[in-house]
Amino acid sequence: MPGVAGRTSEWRTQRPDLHTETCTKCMKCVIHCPDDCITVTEDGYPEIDQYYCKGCMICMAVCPHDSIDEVITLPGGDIDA
Amino acid sequence: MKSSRYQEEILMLDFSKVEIWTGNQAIAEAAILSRPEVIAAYPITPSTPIIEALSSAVENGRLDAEFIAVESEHAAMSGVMGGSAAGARTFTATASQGLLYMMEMIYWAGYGRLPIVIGLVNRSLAPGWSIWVDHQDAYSMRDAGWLQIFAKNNQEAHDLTVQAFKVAENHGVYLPMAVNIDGFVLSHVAGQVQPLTQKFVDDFLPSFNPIFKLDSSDPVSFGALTLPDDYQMLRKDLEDSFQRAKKVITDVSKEFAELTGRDWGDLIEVYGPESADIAVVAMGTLAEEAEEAVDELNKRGKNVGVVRIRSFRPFPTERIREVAKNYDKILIIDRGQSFGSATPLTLEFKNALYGTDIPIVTRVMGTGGKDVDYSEIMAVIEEVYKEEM
Amino acid sequence: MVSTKELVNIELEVKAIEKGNLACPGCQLNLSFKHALSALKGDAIVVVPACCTSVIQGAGQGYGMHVPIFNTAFASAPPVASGIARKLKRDGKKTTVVVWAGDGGTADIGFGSMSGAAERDENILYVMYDNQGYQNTGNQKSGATPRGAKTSTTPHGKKSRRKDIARMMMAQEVSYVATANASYPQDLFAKIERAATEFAGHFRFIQIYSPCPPGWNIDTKDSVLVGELANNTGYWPLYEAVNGKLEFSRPSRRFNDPAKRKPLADYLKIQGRFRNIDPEIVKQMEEDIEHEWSILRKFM
Repeated sequence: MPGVAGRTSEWRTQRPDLHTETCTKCMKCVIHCPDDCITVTEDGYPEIDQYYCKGCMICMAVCPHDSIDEVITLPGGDIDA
Repeated sequence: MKSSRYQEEILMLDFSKVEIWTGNQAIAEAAILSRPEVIAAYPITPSTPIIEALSSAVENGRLDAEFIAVESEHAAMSGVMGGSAAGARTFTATASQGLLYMMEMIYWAGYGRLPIVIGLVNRSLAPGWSIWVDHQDAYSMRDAGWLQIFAKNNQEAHDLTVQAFKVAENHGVYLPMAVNIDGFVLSHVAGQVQPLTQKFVDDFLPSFNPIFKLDSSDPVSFGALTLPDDYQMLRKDLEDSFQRAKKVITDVSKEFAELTGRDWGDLIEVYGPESADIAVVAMGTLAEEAEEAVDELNKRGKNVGVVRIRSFRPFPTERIREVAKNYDKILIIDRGQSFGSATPLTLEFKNALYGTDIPIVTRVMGTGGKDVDYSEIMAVIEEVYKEEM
Repeated sequence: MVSTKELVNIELEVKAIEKGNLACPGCQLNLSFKHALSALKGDAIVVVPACCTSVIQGAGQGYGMHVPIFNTAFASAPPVASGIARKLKRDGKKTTVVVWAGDGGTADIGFGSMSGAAERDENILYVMYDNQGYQNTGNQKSGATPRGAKTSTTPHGKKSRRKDIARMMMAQEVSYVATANASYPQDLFAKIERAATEFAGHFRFIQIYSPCPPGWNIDTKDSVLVGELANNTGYWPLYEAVNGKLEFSRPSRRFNDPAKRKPLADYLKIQGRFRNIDPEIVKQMEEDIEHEWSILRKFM
C-alpha cells in the first residue's frame, strides 16, 4: 500500500512541473522515477503524483526536451501543486 | 564397584527388540523417522555423527530430504530458517562453540517463531579448549526464544526428538526446540534403545502445517521493521506461547507414554521416595547418576529423592513449587555457572520457591567434562545431611 | 532488449514498489528493485539482510514492496535463501529465490556465506546493489567503497582499491555473473530476466551500480547522470560472464577503447565524496580504470 512513510511530498523543497506541450512521451521520466510516482494517462502523457513525489528532480534532469521545470515549494511541500 | 541396579539391567536385556545406539545415533534415527524436508548442518564435536547419519540417510535414499552442507553454524541455522519459512519441517544439530557462532540466528529463529528442532550435544565453552560435557552452551541460549529439554539417556533422547517436532509445530506453541544430550557421556556412549518405527512416528507426528509460509502468490513477509507497540505485543505473545508450552510438552509426553509404555515424566521427573529429607536436583546424565546414588543411600536408611529437570525452558516453576513441599532441603547439582551470581538452576529454584523457607544448596559438578559418578554424589548428599553445606 | 515503452507497461503491471516509501529522494536501489522485480514478473521470494532495503520496505503493517521478503541478519541471506530454494525445489515451484543485499552485506560480513552458496551452486539469484558504502548507517567505508571516496570512516578518501565482487564470483566459476547500472534500466532488466530464465537452477550473481545521493554527496537530480558518467568514463564496465567467458554489454562496449572514455574528472566533480581529494589518489583512480579493463579483457 502506498504511503508507508506518510505524505513524502512533505520532504521536498522543490517539485517538478510538467509541460506536456514539448513532451514527446519518450517515457524516460517514468522509468527513471525512483518512487514510481509518474504514471501514464490515457492520452499517453506522464503524470506526476505530487502527493508522494519527494522532489528529487531526476525527471527534470533526464527529460531530453526540458519539459519539466523545477518549482521551489514551501518547506513541507505544497500539496495543492 | 558397580551398584546392584547395574547388574539387574544387563540381565533384563531382550536383544531382539533393542538396538545398542549412541546418543547421537538415537537422535539421528529419530530425526530421520520424523521426515524433515530441509537439513542444513555443520560438523562440530561431539555432535558430528548426528549430521553424518542424516547426510548418508539422504544420500542413500532412506530419507527424502535436502541436506545442505553449509559453510558455518551461522549458515546452518540460517539454512533451516529458510527451509522452515518456506514451509518445510527442518532439523539440525550442533554443540558448544558451534552454538555460540550460530547464536545470532538462534535468536532470529526463536523470535522469528520458526519451529525448527535442533539436537544440541552439550559441551563446555572455550577457552581453554574442552570437548567434554557441561551445560554452559545450553544456558547461553536461555533467552533466545527456544524450548529447551534435556534427556538423561539415549532412549529418552530418541523419544524426545520425535516429541520435540510435535511440541514445536503445535500452533499454540510454534517455537523452535532444542533436545539436549550430554556430550560424550551420552552422545558417544552406546546404550539400549528400543527404536520407534516409521509407522508409529507417522501416526504420532502430524505433518508440518505452517502458520505462515513464503509464497509469491500470497505475499507475506517475515521480520520487517516493527514499531514499539507491535514489538511489545510480539514479545508478550512469545511469553504466552512459552506458558502454553508447559501443558503441550506434558500432554505430548503423556500421550507418548500411553502409546509406548515409556513415561519420561512431564516437565520434571520425580524419582525415589515421594517425600524425603533431601531432593537432589539435576539435568541430564547427572540426574540418572543421582538415581543410583539415592538408591544406595536409601538402602542404608537414608531418605533421599531426585527431581530431574527435563524442561529448562519453559522452566517448571509451578511443578517445582508443588513437589518442593515433599522435601526438607534441596541440593542442586549444576553443570553450569553464572559468574558473579548463583548458578542458572539455582536462580530458577530461588525464583520458583521465593516465599518458602526451604533451604537450597548448590554444588557445581561435572563442568569441563569432569567425571561424576554416583559415589561422588553420595558423598555430597552426606555433606548436606551433616549440615556442612 | 525490452523497449522503454514495454518496460513501462511491464512495470505498471507488476507494481513491485509503492509510492511514499522510506527511500531517500533519488535512491537508485529502490528503482533497481522495481526494475529487477519487474523482470521477474513479481514471481520471486526475496531474502534481504541488514541493509537500506530492510528499512525502505516499511514497517510491519504497511508495506512498500509487493513481494514476500524474508528479512534476516546481516551475514545470513545466502544460506537462508538456500534453505528456501531447497524447499521450493521439493515443491516443484519455479519462483525465483533472490538475495537482495547491499555491498556491506555482500563484500564484507556476508561474503563467506555467499561464497558458500556459490560453491554449492544453490538455485539463487544473488543481486548486490552496490552503493559503495554502509549507507544505512550513514555512509561508512565498506569493502566495496572505491579508492579515493570520502566516507565518515575514510574522511580523507579511501586509500585502497575496492573489492571487485563480480570478478571474485567469476573466479569461483559461477555460471552467470554480470554487472549492471541503475542508469541503464533496460540492460539491468535484460540481465535479471536472462539470469532468471537461461540460468535458472544455478547460483547467479549480478552487481548493480546503485548511486546513493546522501552517501555520495551528490545532488539528487544527478543520480542518473552519475551512473551514465560511471559508464562513459569506463569507470564501471558493464559485462556478462557466462561460465567464465566475458562479453562487454552494449552501453559499455565502445569504452573498451580508452580514447573514447570521458575524462574521469567529469565523473568526480559532481560528487562531493570525491571533492578535493589528493591528486595522487586521482592519478591512481585513473590508472585503476585501464587496469580493470585489462583484466576483464583476459576473460573475453
